[in-house]
Amino acid sequence: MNPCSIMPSWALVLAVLLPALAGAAGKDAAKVSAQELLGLIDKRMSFTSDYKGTVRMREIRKDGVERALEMLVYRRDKTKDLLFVLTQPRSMAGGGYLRVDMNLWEYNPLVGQWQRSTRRANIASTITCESDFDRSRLNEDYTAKDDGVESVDGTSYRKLLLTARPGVDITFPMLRIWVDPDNNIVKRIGYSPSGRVLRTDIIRSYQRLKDPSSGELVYHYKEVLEFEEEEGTKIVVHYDDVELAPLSPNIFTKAWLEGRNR
Amino acid sequence: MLLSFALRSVRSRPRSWIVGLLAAGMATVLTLGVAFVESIHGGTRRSLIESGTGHLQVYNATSAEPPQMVLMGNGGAPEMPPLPDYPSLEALLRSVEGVQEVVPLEMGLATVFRGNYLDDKLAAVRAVAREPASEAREARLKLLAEDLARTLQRVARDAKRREEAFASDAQSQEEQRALEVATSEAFWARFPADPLPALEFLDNQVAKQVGEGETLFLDLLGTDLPRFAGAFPRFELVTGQLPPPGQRGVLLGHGAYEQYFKLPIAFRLDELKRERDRGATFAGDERLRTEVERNLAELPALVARLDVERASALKDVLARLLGHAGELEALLAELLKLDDGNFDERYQLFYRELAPHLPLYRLHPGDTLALKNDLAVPVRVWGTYRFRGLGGDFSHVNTINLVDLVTARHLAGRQTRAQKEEAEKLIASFGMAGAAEDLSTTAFGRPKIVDEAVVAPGGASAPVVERAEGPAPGFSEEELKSGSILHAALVLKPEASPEAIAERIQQLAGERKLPVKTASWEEVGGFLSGVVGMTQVLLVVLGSLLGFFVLLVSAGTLLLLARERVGEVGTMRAVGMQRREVFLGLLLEGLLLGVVGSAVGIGLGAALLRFGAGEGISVRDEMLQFFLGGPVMHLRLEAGHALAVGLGVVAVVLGAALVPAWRGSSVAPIVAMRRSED
Repeated sequence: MNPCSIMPSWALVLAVLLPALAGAAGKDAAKVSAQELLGLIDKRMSFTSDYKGTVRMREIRKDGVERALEMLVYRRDKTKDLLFVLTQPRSMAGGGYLRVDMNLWEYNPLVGQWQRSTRRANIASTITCESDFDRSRLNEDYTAKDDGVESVDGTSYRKLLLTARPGVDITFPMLRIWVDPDNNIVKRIGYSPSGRVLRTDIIRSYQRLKDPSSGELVYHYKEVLEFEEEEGTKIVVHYDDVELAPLSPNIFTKAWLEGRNR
Repeated sequence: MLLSFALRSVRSRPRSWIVGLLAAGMATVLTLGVAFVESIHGGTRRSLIESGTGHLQVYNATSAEPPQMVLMGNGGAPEMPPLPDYPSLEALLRSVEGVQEVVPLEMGLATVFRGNYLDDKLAAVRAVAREPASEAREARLKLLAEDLARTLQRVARDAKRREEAFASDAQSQEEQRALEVATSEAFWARFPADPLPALEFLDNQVAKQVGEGETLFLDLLGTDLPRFAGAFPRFELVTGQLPPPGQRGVLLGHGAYEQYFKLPIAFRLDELKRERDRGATFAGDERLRTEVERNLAELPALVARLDVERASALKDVLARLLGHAGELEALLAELLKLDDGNFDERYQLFYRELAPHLPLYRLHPGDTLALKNDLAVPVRVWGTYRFRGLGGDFSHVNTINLVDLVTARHLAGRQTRAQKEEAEKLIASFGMAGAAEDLSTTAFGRPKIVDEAVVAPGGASAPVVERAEGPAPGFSEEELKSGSILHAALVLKPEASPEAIAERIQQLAGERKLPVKTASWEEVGGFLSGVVGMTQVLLVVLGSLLGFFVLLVSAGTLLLLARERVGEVGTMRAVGMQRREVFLGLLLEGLLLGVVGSAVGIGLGAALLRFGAGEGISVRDEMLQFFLGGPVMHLRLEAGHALAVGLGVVAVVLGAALVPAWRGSSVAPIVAMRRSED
């Protein structure tokens, strides 16, 4: 018997049912409005606990120069506090960024100098931004509208066009996102106000974690690929070693970051 | 025969001399114009060549564009691949006959962040607060804290006034509350025991209320500093010293030093002095009055920056000068209320009596400056320099800051060999090694979901890292030359021809298959050489307009004369003169008028240049000095230019004579004779 010519009956049943099930799932997702979908995405990506993680990056420039960076990220979503401590390479170690209230400070360990930075600062001279490592707040920052559906390899991705709300200070005034049937963002393009492409991100993998504070499963980036249009720079970002536990309030201070330098 | 006919005709018709006069006028104007444009061309060429550009520049032939020495408004230097094997290339360039010096270069930009006055004060207090406990530390902290408390009282007063003047929103109410806390006795009572949290509060809640601070953008020229100073004879140190060979550091252009690092109030007073020296007055020029207003508006920030000693010394001096006591800010405002009657005296007083008690410059030779571009790096300021006679502090070339090449590379984010190896190791240890081409930004699909266990909290153990290593204070000659060098300036011997040397370099590069190209001063001079091009275009436009005017008026005059001479022409034709001969005779008259007129005009122009500007014209306006090659403008007339002007004018007059000559010679003898009888 040729296994390819005759399908077993259970497989036949599956073949009929699976697309229907997939369609049903897609229909459910489609029922949610674009704005509600942003809320869902924010919810499933937000921690109730304080967060500490290690971010590692490989940056590839158009001229072939490659850099590697490692930094610790400390986050307290309740108060919007955020701290980055650069640990690698040696020429940047001990530097970092601290966000407290509306202030974003940059610390240069070579001169021991603090500098107020803009909210949309690039982190450590890479193409990454402060917001890449912050809590997802798409629903607060953008208004969304549907932008069609794109099918890739049999999966339908819902496209949303996001426009910044007035008075909100954000990295990309316009965003286009591709969302899979499980409400994961799989692709994201940031635009300038004039509609010029600034950066394209591909989210290759997520990590699923249990937030000890809420008991919920939370989705956090695991591997993201970012491509900056103008300079042609690519960057691979890995999010590792996530700790979800209370952080000391002293961590979000200049004195604490200064104290990281031996 | 034709010539004598033309001569007679011109002599007997004074009205035709108008054409000659027009030709003379045009030739005079063009002679002066050509000399002036040539002076700008030569002056700018000299200025650029002698201020770091060199006669030629060499760069990598694979670069999309030549290097640019003037980056204003360009958004940074063009991307350039490094020169191949610079040490060998330099030796090759030095071997070329006529090359005097080869200076490695790299243009770039850097920013310097400057906090507001409260940021500065808080940083000073923080530095002391972090020192180990000692009596001296306590005493210093006490003094600084008292000063800080006084400053905050002033900030609170200003904020209160603002709040009264403008409707306050939720944010300003929050800021007001923060100021109330910061000026409360309880806050300062707690301060000595635990200063750091108090400083965090002031940093985050109060400091931003007096401004964001500012970012300065500095033009940088990376080079081998001692060699650069030796290669360009106009280079002169103004303050400090040259860095010793092999030492990292920056020499600030004195123009940039004055503009960015001088007390703004003093800088504006200098500007007012310059404007008044040019003839401007407070009564007649609103700009001057605005500058005074800006100075007065900046007094609160100045007073807030002063420590107690300086403030009390200044108060005493001002009380003595003004004859009465008062608040420092009010006394300063009284002295700096300037008008045409008191400016000169008060300007003198400011520098003689007040400046010794003021922080006149934020930065001094020996200080460290934190420069930032792609990466940040601390660099020692060795001093300030300028190019002599090229426009003083307002010349673009005197606002360029010279920095060693090692620092320039670091700022541009170009890796050393060690950094490259470190990056490779880190990428491998991160598990990210792999071909960059595999990283597609177009293909996407369902993301992988990985179930991760949350790492056990280690909140108590705060990480400690080895403090970042910047570039070492010194570097070797090998490190300087073996690192990437983007372009180099060639200074040539006086008798050398840049074109011939450029050709020779291209020939040598071709023989050795080196991807090297040369660029002239005009190609690398950016908008400065563009100015020269513009003056040349303007001269061509002026010449064309003038030529058109002369052509029209001359043609009209000659046509009128031709009409009057119908009878004469008829008679000549009747006695056997051919039409062609008549045409040539009339044309010859035009030629004669053109030649004589242009000769007279050129002579007059040359005489004006010789007797009016023979010794050169003094250029007092610093803005013009760069384009005119220094403080003296030399206007000279080259023989070639005189010939070009002469030929141009003659061509115009000949053109003007063509139609009258044709019309005049086309009259039939019988018609002409009848008309002469009438």
